[in-house]
Amino acid sequence: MLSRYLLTILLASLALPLIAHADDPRDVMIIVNKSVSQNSLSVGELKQIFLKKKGNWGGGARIVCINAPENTKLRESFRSKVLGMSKDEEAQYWQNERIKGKLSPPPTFRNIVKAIFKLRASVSYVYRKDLPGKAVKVVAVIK
Amino acid sequence: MYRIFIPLVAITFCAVPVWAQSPEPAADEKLNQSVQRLEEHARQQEEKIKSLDEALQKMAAQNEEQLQRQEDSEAEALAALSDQDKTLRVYGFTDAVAYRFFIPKDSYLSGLADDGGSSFASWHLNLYLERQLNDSFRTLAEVRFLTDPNGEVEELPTPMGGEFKRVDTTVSDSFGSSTFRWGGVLIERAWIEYKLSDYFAMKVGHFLTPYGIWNVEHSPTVTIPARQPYLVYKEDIPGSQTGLSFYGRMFPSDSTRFDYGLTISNGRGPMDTLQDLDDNKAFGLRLQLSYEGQYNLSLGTYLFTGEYTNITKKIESFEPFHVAVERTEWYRESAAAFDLRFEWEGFLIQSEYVLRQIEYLGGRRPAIDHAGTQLEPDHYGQSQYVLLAYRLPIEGIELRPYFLVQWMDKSNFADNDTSWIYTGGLNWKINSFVVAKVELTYIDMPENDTDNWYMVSSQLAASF
Repeated sequence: MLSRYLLTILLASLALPLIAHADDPRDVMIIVNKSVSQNSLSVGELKQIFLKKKGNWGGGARIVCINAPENTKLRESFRSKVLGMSKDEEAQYWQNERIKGKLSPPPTFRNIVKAIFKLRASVSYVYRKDLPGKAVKVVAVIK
Repeated sequence: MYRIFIPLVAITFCAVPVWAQSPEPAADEKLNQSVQRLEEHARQQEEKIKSLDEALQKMAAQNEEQLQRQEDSEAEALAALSDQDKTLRVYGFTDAVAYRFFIPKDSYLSGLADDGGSSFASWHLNLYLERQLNDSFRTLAEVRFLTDPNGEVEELPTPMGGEFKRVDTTVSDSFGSSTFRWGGVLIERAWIEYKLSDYFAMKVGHFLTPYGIWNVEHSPTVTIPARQPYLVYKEDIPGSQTGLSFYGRMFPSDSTRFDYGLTISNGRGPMDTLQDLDDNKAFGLRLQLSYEGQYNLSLGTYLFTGEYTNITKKIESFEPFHVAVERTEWYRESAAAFDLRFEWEGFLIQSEYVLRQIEYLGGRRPAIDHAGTQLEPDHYGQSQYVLLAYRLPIEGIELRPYFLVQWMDKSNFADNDTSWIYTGGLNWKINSFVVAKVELTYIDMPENDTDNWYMVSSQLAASF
């Protein structure tokens, strides 16, 4: 009886970090406007979108990607986890793209949720703790 | 019972005279003053409350106004966002260079390329004007400002005669007594883009030929070495063309891209940005496959074919009016370019190869000797470069030593025109806008040892 009790405690303690991890308020939630038909996005796709290598959703609508303001933890988190770049590397990337005659970086916006709610075909990211109810659609979670 | 009643009556009768007495005047005055003070205090408190209330109302109004302003500015920002920033963008790049040639005195190049000293120069001042017109249309113009043609050698005398001539663009300033030397303006590109989707877009106008890597990157702030490779400045494939460019991109997987492009242009000619003198359009096909993951790899090709025509005109008679047109140069050129880029953990391998074939048409062959007896045969030439670079793992400093090897065989009919060029240098990306480079280049001509030479170049380039 005692051994079963101890085993239960042990298993529960092992599962605790997983449960805590699953709902970490610092998870970066990738959100899109509800007009976007896509229900999930991979990190590879996100990278293509936010580096403007991919400019259209599957249905053909032009992607409006919005970045979090520079020098925020959220932006830093997204940059390292999705783009795999440092701040300098990202700045360098956009400088080079412009010189090659390609596109300029995505605009930044403070009230991301509001922007995603209002703008068709838009995509951005917020922390889990800042996620609103059902105003926007979550298509990926970056741990 | 009586024992209790009698003292109570006595106490009651004794107390009656005390209450029945009227108050003394001094005490009454004191009481009045107290009441007045209290009333005054109450009035002051009331005033205070009133003023506080007013202040609170004012603050609430201010807050509301501020909130409204914030809402308005947010709405404006949101509108700008939905417009995807359709403002006119102005940017560009420039550089400052110091260089020196070291050419043996007995080389035929001595005196031709080397005027003996080290020099400062500015090779680039490129200005971009870009605007996203709406969701589908975008326009871009890139203009390069040059000091050329001032100082260029126009004519070099030979034992057969001639006179040394240098271009001098000195003119008087209309608004003063000073003089200045005018320079040139080169339109690198000026196009209007229509993008339907990732899969299909087109450009109309003057565009950079989408071949290889260097031609598209072309800015010293992007490319690693200071000098362009021979393959690029020799223009075995025209660096830019005027016409149409169709292109698109597909995504076979999340980390793979397939790019295609088709170019239709005037091709090459003495005035190809304005007129196609042979009415034979040049065609190009670009294909590129890219992978981005643990490492980055891209493989590309560009196939090009077109005709070059030059003509002269002469009024042969006025009555009837007749202009005779004669073709002076006419050849078909075909070229195939291949490019590769591999990046992994700070390592970079980049290479391009171009093979170009010239076929003269209508017997319009140029002479290759002074007497004009020897005519140039159909031929092909080829050139290649391989660039190796490594970003040193130093935190906070982006320092990249590099090594560039170039090989070229200008034509297969001449025996002594093969060259090898070796360049070693250091690229220091000071920040995302400024880069400094220093390099040493050695040119080896295996068929003629006296013509081997080297040069030192340093460059500071900035984008703005």
